[in-house]
Amino acid sequence: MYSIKNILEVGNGNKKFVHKILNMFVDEIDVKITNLKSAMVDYQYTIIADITHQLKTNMKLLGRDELSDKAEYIEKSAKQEKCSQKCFEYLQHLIQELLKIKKEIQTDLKNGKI
Amino acid sequence: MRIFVIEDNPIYAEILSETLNPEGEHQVEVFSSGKDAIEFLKFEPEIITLDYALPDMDGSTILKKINEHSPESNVIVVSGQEDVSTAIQLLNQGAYDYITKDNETQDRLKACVRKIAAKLKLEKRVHSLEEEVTRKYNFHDVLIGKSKSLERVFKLMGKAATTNINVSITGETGTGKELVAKSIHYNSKRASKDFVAVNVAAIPSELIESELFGHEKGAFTGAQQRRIGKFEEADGGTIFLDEIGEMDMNLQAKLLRVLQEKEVMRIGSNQPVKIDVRVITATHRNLEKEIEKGDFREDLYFRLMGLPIHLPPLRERDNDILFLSNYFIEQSCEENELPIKKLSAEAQEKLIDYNFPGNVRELKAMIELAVVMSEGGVIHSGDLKFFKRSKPTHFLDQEMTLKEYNARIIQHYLEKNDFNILKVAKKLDVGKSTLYRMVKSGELEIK
Repeated sequence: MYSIKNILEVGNGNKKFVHKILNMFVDEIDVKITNLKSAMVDYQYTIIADITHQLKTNMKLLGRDELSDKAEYIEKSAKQEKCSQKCFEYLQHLIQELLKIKKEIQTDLKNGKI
Repeated sequence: MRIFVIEDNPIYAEILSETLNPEGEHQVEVFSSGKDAIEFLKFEPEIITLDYALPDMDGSTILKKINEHSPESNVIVVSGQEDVSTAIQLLNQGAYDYITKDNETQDRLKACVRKIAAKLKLEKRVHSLEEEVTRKYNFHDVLIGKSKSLERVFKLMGKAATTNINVSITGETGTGKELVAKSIHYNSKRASKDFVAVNVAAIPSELIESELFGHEKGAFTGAQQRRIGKFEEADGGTIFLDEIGEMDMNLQAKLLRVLQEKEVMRIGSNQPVKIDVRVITATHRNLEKEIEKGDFREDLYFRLMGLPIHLPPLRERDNDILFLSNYFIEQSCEENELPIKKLSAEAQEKLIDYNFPGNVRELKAMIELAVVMSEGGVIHSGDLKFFKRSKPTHFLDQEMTLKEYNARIIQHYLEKNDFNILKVAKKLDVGKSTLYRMVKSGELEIK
């Protein structure tokens, strides 16, 4: 589930702008997920922090505040160079949700729902 | 406006660009790293939005670089962190505002840009007005003329404007003392600060100290609030003390202290306030004579004298009378939407023969009236009305008979002594009956 309310507001109801942002999200999310997964394996905290820092903002933009909070939690943990069990669980959940959102956006764009 | 968006998240950079430039009237450039942005700071953007947490450097470091390379840029820090101490640190470093990334970011950012745009508009207006003032007080626009005596004045004004020395201006009424003072100020390094003019003769003696040095609340009856004096008001700029010769001795001592210590003490306070003020004084009096009479302090005179500039009276400025007349005619015709008029030969002669006790001010008023009153394209001698009775420069140049000279001298003494015939007779060592006889015959006037 995602919402385009915030993006519509920024773009003053401009659908083209909404499409542009959603396409940007779809285009970059795979790379982000891949990098995040490999950083998790190698405990590369700086990369984890940088990616989750961006995801935190993007999730808020797509109306997923609870995912934004989780991204923030991970970012903070990574900045302290530690990742608890909870942190890993959040990461996995975040990745799963990102993939779902991506799929949903792709379908909506394809079907002209947006 | 040129706007830089420094943001490593491409989606958020797009959001910021749209928020800042919904109508596409600004030039927005996005930079994903601090390093890239720093390279382009030479273009001096009016607004920079800065993500605090960039991968290559933190906001504080970039802000330092911006302050170095583009100090006029207004930096809005947009951060995902709600960290008050970071915000305070960045604001202290000169950031215009600190906005956190949340649902209200866009509204706050828009408000910020509106405020900056208004500020820039105001700054631009102030700048253009400052330029206008400087142009207005260009030396050759303030004192119009081509005479040698005026050339000397321009040279001295130039010296005064490029240095910080105190200046003392002397000259008859209407010669432009205040204009010269303003011109020196607006062509000096102090031009961006205030020019504060005080006419010492126009302020009652009981108020002048408070006017010049200020007072604290309750310092005296009626002092309901603290008031900053003219010296403090002029800090960094210039204070112009007109008619300095009229200042009483008590205040002269206080002024001397201010000039020596470079600090003022408000009435009712014992806390001195440091000031950096250039003092320009003017007087129509001969201060050396005032010192001899004991009416002006010698030590203050030397403090104030600095660079003396004497403004010559109009009658001593060669052909400036006609040059100025034509200048005022042109100006007045333009203001009144009239075709340019010319002076007839007799009118020119009349102007040259007159001694202009009111100097340029009098000439200007006379010409303005003549332009309006004259018919057709020529100003005749009859159109020129003198406002003041002519006082010839040299008494003996008038080529009168001895009898007429006698009458003129006696008339002068009568006027000076309230038409007291007995007193004048005694002073001039002539018989009172002689004076009565002259009054009777109409040679003398009694009022």
